[in-house]
Amino acid sequence: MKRAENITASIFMVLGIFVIKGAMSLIYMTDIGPGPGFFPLWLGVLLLFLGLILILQNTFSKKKVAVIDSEPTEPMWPGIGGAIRVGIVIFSLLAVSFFITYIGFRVSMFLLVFSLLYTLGRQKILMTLAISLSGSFGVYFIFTHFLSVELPVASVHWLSVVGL
Amino acid sequence: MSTLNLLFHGTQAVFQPMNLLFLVLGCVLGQAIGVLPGIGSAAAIALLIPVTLNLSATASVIMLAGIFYGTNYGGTITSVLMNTPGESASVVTAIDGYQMAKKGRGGPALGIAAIGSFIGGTVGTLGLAFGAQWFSNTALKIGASEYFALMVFAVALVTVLATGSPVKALLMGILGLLIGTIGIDPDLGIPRFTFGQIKLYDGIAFIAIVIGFFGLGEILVNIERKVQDTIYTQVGSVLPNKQDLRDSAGPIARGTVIGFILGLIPGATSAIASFLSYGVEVSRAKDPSRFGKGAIEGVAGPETANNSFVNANFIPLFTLGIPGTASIAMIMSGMMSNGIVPGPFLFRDNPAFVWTVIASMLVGQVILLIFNLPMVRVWILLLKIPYSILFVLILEFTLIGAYAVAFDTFNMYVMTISGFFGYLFKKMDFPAAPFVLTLVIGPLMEKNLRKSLEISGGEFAVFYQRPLTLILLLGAALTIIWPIFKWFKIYVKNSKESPRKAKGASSSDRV
Amino acid sequence: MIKNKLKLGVAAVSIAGLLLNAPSASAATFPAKGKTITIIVPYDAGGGGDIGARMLAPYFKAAIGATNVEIVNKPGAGSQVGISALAAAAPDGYTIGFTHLPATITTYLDPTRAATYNLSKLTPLSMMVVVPTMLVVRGESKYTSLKDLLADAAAGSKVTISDSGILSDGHLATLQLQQQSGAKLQAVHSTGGAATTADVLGGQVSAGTLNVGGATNELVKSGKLRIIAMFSKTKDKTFPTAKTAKEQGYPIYCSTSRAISGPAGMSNTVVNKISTALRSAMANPEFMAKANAAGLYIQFMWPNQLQAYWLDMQTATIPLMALKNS
Repeated sequence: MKRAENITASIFMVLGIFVIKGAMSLIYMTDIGPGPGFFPLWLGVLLLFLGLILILQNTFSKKKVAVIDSEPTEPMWPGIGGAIRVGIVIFSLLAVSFFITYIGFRVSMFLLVFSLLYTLGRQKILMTLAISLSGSFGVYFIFTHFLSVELPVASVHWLSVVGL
Repeated sequence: MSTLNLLFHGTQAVFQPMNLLFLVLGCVLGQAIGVLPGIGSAAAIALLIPVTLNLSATASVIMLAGIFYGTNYGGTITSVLMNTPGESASVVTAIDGYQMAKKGRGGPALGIAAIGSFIGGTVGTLGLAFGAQWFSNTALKIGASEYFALMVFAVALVTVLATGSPVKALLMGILGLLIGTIGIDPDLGIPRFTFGQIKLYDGIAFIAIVIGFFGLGEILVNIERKVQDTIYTQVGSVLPNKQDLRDSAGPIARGTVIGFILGLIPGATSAIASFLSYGVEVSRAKDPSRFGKGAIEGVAGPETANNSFVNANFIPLFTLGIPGTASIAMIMSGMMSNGIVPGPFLFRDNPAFVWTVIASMLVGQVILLIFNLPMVRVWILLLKIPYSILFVLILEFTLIGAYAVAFDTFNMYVMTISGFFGYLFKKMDFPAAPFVLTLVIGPLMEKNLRKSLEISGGEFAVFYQRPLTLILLLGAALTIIWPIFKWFKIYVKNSKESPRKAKGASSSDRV
Repeated sequence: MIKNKLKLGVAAVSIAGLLLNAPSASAATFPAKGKTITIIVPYDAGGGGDIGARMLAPYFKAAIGATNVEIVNKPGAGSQVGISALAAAAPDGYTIGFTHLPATITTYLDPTRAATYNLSKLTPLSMMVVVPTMLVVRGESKYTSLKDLLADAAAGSKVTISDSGILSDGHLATLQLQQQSGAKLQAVHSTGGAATTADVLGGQVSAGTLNVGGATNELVKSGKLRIIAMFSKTKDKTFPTAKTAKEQGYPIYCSTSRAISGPAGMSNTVVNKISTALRSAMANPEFMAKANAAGLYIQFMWPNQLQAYWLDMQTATIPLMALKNS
């Protein structure tokens, strides 16, 4: 817990330095007051400062934090299995975001829903199929026909010729 | 003719078949748009304006207005049931509403939101009917410095009073402000932290971040365990009980006032109204630590505020022709396309139109209440879907929501990455409320700080010479100082009791 | 209907368009049967100019005899995203779009915006709407003319003028007024016309710049707002008694306008066909009636007139860019 927090705090501090650097190249003050660089600069400084405080808090007064912070006692980080499941979800969302422009909404959503339901959800194959079809083709129909909201269609030739 | 008389005639006109039909249609559409991810009321109204050209002006505006206020009723549902806000106004509802649903109190959360929305919406409309002129003239006295001070106050309330470590809360608040600075700076038009990408010029879409941070983040936390094991415990009661109503009375009353006032200020958004209401409720609570864990006040107040806001939005439009938000600007377009120009002569020149629309807004609140209370029973059936199926549907929902913000896959990446960070921060107990609040408020706060100084010609006196500004800023300062003072008192007390072992003593002393 | 296509999709379509459209007879047969003319609106659906564009589209379609005319919203970065896409499109006439002035000009004149286009990357086709800018004060104000306001500023009073954003038409007017009179005027940037109206009515600022039309006209007629200068060459038809800035000794011309342009390199035949069709669409009495109801100031210009108008505005704007942060 503490270690993770310290790492986060350090990342915040690095971010702070980066922000300060970025803000330095912007106008800090104009003749009437704060310019575009004013806000970011001070936010960067605060980030740096608060990150440091968090680390100091964690190192020196272990108990004092606990007074305000009612921490759960369960183990913080997932085991291998949990991490893999989290990874699978993130990965499939990124994959959909990438491939949706090529294979369109219907195919990519079908694949997403089908694979997640079948693997992580462990549903029966018929159930999986039914939900995947309604979640892809059904949703597409509702959005485009009733709501006039255009969802991506396939741009690769062999899919667009069949109307996906 | 007296106002009551006019309102009575207006109500009669609402019950003409065509008007009533389009009122119901508008309410249903608004509700649906609120539930659906990503599509906001402004876009929906814009799409329907061409359709309304074939209708009477009154029926058109009745429908468009119905969409506008109906959206806020619908937005609540996904916030509470899936932790995935479909509208920026219901973002704050997700914080406590979803926790209520997890504890089997999704029904009361939705019920109190509907009741609060009804009260807020009705009072907002009554304000429009009985005091529009006075309210709009008074609201004009609120300038950039007051607005800036109000936002500082809101940020102070939410960050300082957030449960858990104040350092973490502040870090999250600053992170939100920082992400808010990405894009073209609100005053001088200079790109900041955009890395040369035009896509970043408008900043990162708030709603895509929030859908990821809340909706996806929650799924990732749940999915760590085998999905089959993660099922909502129970559906629980459907409607709020007497205790819930008693707890919510104050938040609803205060939410009404907060939403109403902000609705009169051009440039304010309903998200700010709901956050401010949330902050006020946290600050008033005897035990603020309940917030974020399913406090009904955290749903009742903000949901009331955003509806009161929406209806108050009509006041500057109808009296001065000033549209305060993007959605109400769409309604103004709808009016103008139908040949009705809002402004100081609207009540004089088009009394039949105005009073029918106002009456329709009152009837519309009743319609939406009737829709929503019994529908709660249906909506919470969603929670009966096994989580092993539901999580996939929510994932799809988050993707569509992110995409629909700007019809751009870029926001799907934004959503996914925010989701991962939301997950990490949740694991480490970094609170979400300060982050989302500052994310939405940051650019406006900076803009109004600059604008105040432009108005004063660079004189900082503008912040202490205007009484309302001063009061709000002092309130913010007090909010920040009070916890430090309290902490100091405890510290002094502890060190007196055991001067040598101050550290050890403080841990056992939970005050 | 929102038809925000994906970038990739659009790119694919335009490449396909290039390949299918053999350069030879394409201009003569424009618009070809079965092809869609896309009008890019660089703002949100329902936002700046979108409703006017949607109003015009069916009349333009009929006038040019196209199979289909489609409005595509490409909002973002003011209008930079949409105009970048417009400038990068194939110059075959099937992609045209709105380029609002002065917003388009100020975007590419500002080096920090790193715009990929300027006038040479675009083909001006015709003007659709020109809305004059004016300087207003609230009814209770002591100023009744430009002279009052400038004299007060010269005497050392703090005079603030609200506009709808940095480098907006109103801000450009304020800068020119300051430049020509030498008086110190403090520009206050609001978030749009609605906020400017509120600033002026609430007495938060000394004056404000607004565009003629819609609710603003009602406020002027009711006496809540008073026009102290019109930044137009001629007197306004709605407010014939309001004096122009030029009449008061300051030749300043400002307006916000909606021009229609295409990418650079369009053939003359296609340019003529499109601008002729736009002209007859805008002259259609049915369209005129709708536009009037919506408060649009329709003003057509031929391509060469628009080009001259654009260059004039650009010339006037360049020296102001250096002053913008004051």
